[in-house]
Amino acid sequence: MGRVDQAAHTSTCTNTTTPPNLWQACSRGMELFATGFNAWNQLSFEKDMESNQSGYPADVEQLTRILSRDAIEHLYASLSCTVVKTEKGDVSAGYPDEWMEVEDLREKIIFTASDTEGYISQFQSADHFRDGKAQWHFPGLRVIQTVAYEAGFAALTAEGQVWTWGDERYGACLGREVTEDSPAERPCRVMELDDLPTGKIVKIAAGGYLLMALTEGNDVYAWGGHPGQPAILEEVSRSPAPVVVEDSDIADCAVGESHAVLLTVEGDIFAIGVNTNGQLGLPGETRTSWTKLPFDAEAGLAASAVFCGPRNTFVLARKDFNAS
Amino acid sequence: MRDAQERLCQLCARAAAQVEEECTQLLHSSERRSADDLSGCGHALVSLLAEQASQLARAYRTELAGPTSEQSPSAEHQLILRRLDDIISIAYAKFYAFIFKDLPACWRQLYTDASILKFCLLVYERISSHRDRRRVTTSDDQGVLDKLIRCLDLALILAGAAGEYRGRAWIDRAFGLLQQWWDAAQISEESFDLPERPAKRPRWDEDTDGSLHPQFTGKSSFSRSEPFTPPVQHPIKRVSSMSMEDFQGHMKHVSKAVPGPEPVILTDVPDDWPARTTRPWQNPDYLLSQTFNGRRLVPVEVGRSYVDEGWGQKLVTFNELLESYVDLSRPSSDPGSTKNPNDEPPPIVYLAQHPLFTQLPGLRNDIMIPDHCYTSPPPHPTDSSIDQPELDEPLLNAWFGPPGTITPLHTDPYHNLLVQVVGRKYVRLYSPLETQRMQARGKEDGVEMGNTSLLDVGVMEGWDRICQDHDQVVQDQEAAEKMRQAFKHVPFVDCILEPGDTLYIPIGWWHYVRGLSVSFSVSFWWN
Repeated sequence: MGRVDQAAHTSTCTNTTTPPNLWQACSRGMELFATGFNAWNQLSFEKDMESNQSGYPADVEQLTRILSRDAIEHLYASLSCTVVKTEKGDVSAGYPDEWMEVEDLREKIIFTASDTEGYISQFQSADHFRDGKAQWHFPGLRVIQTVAYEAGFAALTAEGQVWTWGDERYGACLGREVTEDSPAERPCRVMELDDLPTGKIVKIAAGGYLLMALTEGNDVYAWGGHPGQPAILEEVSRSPAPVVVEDSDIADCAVGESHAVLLTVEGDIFAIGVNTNGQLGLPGETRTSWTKLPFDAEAGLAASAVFCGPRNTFVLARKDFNAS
Repeated sequence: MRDAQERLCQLCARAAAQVEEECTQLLHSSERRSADDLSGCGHALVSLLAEQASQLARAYRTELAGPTSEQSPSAEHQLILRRLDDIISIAYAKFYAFIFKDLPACWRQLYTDASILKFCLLVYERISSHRDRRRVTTSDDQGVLDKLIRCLDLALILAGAAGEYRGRAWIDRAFGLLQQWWDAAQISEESFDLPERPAKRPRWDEDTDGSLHPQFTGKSSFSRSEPFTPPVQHPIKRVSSMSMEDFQGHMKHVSKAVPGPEPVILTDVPDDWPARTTRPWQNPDYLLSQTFNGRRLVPVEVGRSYVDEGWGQKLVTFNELLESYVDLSRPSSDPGSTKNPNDEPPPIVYLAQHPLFTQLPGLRNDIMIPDHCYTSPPPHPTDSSIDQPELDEPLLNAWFGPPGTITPLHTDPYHNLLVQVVGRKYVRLYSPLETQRMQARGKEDGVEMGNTSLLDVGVMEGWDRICQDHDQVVQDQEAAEKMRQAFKHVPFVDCILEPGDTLYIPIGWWHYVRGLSVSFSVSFWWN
């Protein structure tokens, strides 16, 4: 199965529609900050980004402004490249991955298709997608978001249901028991995410062997784990459990290959996990508890969304009307 | 010293230039990605690897041009090292994401080539820092050798040293030169500054082939102590000097009771192996001499049995394996780590089913593939779906551990000769006819465990305490007793293998293996 290879690059379900509009412009003046892995200059949209003398780019070790635009709508970050949509079209940085080279897939990945075809399709590779050879189609879901982790996928429906499928060896990432009626390799519902106290799920995030889901009422649930390796979140398991950070309400969440980031409704950013490439935006090594990031945006700017690439972190900031 | 260093330098310089050239070609090729070479990893990673190779190749060209040339700043080296570690960890993540047999070779090669470049970088840094004495500090030098060895051993053990042009052959050569360089440095003043084992240095003698080899005929040998010896109830036949014709006849023989050949012990197969004579594996000092003074890494299983809760695998240095796990009577080489007799006993650690002889070609020369492995054995007696494609060469595995190691009841898809080189092992076998009663496991958490039985011989016989995993399997005492009674009546044969014994385990036979003393065995799988 090349499922995992595919997962490592991006989710490729064909009916990805617009997730909750966390990224959408709602004011003039938006800024994108980033920290972390920069081997391919994937954090350098502007030419004047600092690089070392030899010209080989170093990693960025604290949240640094990488782009200013009137509107920044959507972001795609793979291992080697970053693409965002702005009011003047898309801009990209870094080394395009193979998924970016597939023209009609690029549209779907970055800008999200508005015409949902009503089914999830899985492809073994970009080549298979190009050749129109799906492994399978799964009909009947009104999917509004898909995400990929290292060994599988999750999809979110308009009704707030979360469906997962992937490698049975990492069953905890499925958030459900694997049975004959609920096999690992086909999309099945994570029942434990239904009927939560703070409403339905409005966003999901995934990376490495960790998944998260955000509720309408600003709670985050996490599940997953990689047996035999240190967990990013303590006590993460097959059963989705609330993530508690200083009793704050959570506005957004993001998961990288080995790190995760939360944005509170107050606009504070917290990170946890490994920091080999500066992805936490903090000095030092791995953090095993949620640590607040220093984030010095200019006055009047407030963090409005967070996003993770496999080894980097992005923060979108916009003009804060409440503050002004 | 200079000679070995020079040759190592040239080996590294060539590798860096070669990787750069290969990657550049792939980046300009119009062919589709192939999972069999680096192109399968995608252009971004190939280009990143090429960048690091190119910088290293340039540094080596300068180095080889003359020692007075300018050196590249160490900040650049830090970034090269960072990127090589990035590439290694990106490739390594794929080792988990795929089932190993489905892992595209490109990721193993990416891991291997990045590790080779990392080795080259570390060698370069050592050479240049030692030349420019002002930059040398003891802390810089501490552990350099360990890092060099670790980097290549990880590529051998985790990635199987993949790659057509460098791969295992390059790494074997690098280890050879590294050893020469290090041996020379021991004599010269340019010591690696690493604490030497207090082990008595062996006497050096001329070998039969004219080369000098240390003689390991001293008294040092593994402890023979056996904390527990199970009774042998249905002994397997022991045969000495069985001819190849007779062995072939034995395999063809079919009795009414058992389909296919039966197990037999051959008592004289490894009599002339160096491992049993001039290069005695019984002698820990010899094994250390073959493992870069114990610095080489080996993979071990940690825990009583691979079906137990909490069982895991890790990499340890051979030295650590010997001192901390296998032979606790040995003096520690590290004065800081004095053993406290009140400490918890260490967990059972077992170097099991590891192709040690491809990792350490020196030890491969100490054994010989028995002629028996070149006979043509019969297929699986009851289930032809288990038969594997014909092997070109027998598969060799090493099994080395302290008393009490357990390989749970299982079957293998090959005929097996298990040669006992050091110490004693208990083996119990059940015929393929009993497969129904062996209670084979199924798929567990997505991992196929169908070749392993739910039955724990040690627990059933009362030799071991019931472990947690077993508790879950056996829901209540009554069921446990019922299982025990049913199990009691399943016929089996058993034996204790003495040093020098060879057990023939025909394909399809379920076997349970238990180390009684410190034990070192070699298994040969063939079909």
